[in-house]
Amino acid sequence: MFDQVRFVGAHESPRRKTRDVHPFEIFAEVITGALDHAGLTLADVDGLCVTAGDLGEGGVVEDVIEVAEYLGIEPTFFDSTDVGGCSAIVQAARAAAAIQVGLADVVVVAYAACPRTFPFDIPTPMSWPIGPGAFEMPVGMSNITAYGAFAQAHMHRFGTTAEQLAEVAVTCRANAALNPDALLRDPITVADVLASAPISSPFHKLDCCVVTDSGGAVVLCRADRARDLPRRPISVAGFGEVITRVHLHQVRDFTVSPGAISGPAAFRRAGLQPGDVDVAQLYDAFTATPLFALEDLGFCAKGEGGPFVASGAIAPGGSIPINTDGGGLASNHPGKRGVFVLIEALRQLWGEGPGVQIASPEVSLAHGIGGFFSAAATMLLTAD
Amino acid sequence: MQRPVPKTTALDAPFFAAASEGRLVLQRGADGRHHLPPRPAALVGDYDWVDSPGLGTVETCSVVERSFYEDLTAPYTVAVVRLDEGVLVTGQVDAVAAAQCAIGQRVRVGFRPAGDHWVIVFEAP
Repeated sequence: MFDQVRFVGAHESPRRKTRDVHPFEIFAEVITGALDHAGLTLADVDGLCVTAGDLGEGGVVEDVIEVAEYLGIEPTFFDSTDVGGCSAIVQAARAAAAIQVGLADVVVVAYAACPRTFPFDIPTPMSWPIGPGAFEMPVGMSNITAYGAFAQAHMHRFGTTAEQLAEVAVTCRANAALNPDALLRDPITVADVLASAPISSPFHKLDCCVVTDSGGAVVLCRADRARDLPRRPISVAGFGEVITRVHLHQVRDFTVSPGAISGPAAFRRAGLQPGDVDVAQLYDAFTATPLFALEDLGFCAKGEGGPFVASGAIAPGGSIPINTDGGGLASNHPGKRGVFVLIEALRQLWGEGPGVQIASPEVSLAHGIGGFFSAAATMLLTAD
Repeated sequence: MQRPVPKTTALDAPFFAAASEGRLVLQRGADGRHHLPPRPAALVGDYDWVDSPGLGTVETCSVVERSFYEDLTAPYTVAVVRLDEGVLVTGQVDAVAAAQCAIGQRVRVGFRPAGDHWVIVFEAP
């Protein structure tokens, strides 16, 4: 499907907390950093993908044209799809499709935001309070409450425990210990997570991702050009995506995430099975989201996610190590984390993981979600 | 953060008008299925609005311990309730009842004034 396309570079900003830095400065840093990593320059770029309409989460990007202007380029392929956290993964697939059909040669996918310092006092609603949003947004909704509702349903139906959820945070924090740029690097225990302040049941503070000011970028180009570049070219072996619904009042089943659609599609298109994956980056906005992903992508049976994450399977020595750089729970999470999920999935194949580096992985998975489990994108990657 | 104030449209005006009188009405489409929020006729066919006793079962909920809203004091519970008619409704359970809010619990829809609008709340049946 994407045989003419390769990932050839990536860069994650070392920044985590900024003051008076415009996100566009970070866009420039990570895009030039990723191009440098790829052995390319801005002059080579004819495609640009950024997430737009991101005001409330500190992205300050009204439209992709602003970022192109800031960089001084006039891309003839572009995308600014916003489906929440996984947007960068979705955009990378669009970039790959564009290169595959000849609409672009070198595409940069980038994201940067400073939610800690550019709040603009704009609320960040999932929807505006008119039409369907009028029936949900006024009740005191938040991301934490929405995902909490999914987690509560899972606990009620399958007996998943708060201790099992906490294991995800413990694993991510342990992986972050070796990552010099991770925000939180001190090890924690299950008891530490359960003792942290309750935010919205079942989540305590340490069940929730960090909030950082940062950015990242990846570079894709044609396969024949990739051969001459410094990085080992990485292929998209398979990809799947889906958008479902925004509001809780439209959810079909609170114990299933949209990864149940994007994951199997990616595996089917790649001709691979979950057992073939050596390392997985599973979007961790909350401890529950990787747990849902492990079930819905087929790494364990539905309902078994709790015992699975407590078994050691997701640790570096386990059957499916996850979030090897510390993830959103310990390392990096501005408003959206998709670009960092993708960057770490690539770094593992390049042997450049800043946290835990899995030995010689062959199949690397990047899985992201968005909204209130409103979207998902799963990408399987292999190195040439 | 300020809680968003809902704006009504002609399509959902019957719901908010009934809410101001403490009544729940649901849109019923051409095939007899109920919808909330309402959809246009292009999606549900010829429709009408029917009274509902507002009885349902808690599908899921989350107890908010840290409020991000100036006018909402924690703890409060956000619940998603499946009405007996089949539709899901998102609403609030206030602090007094929050401790008793549990998945599978039977509740009844009520309306609490919020400024000049109405917020869906769930009370004991």
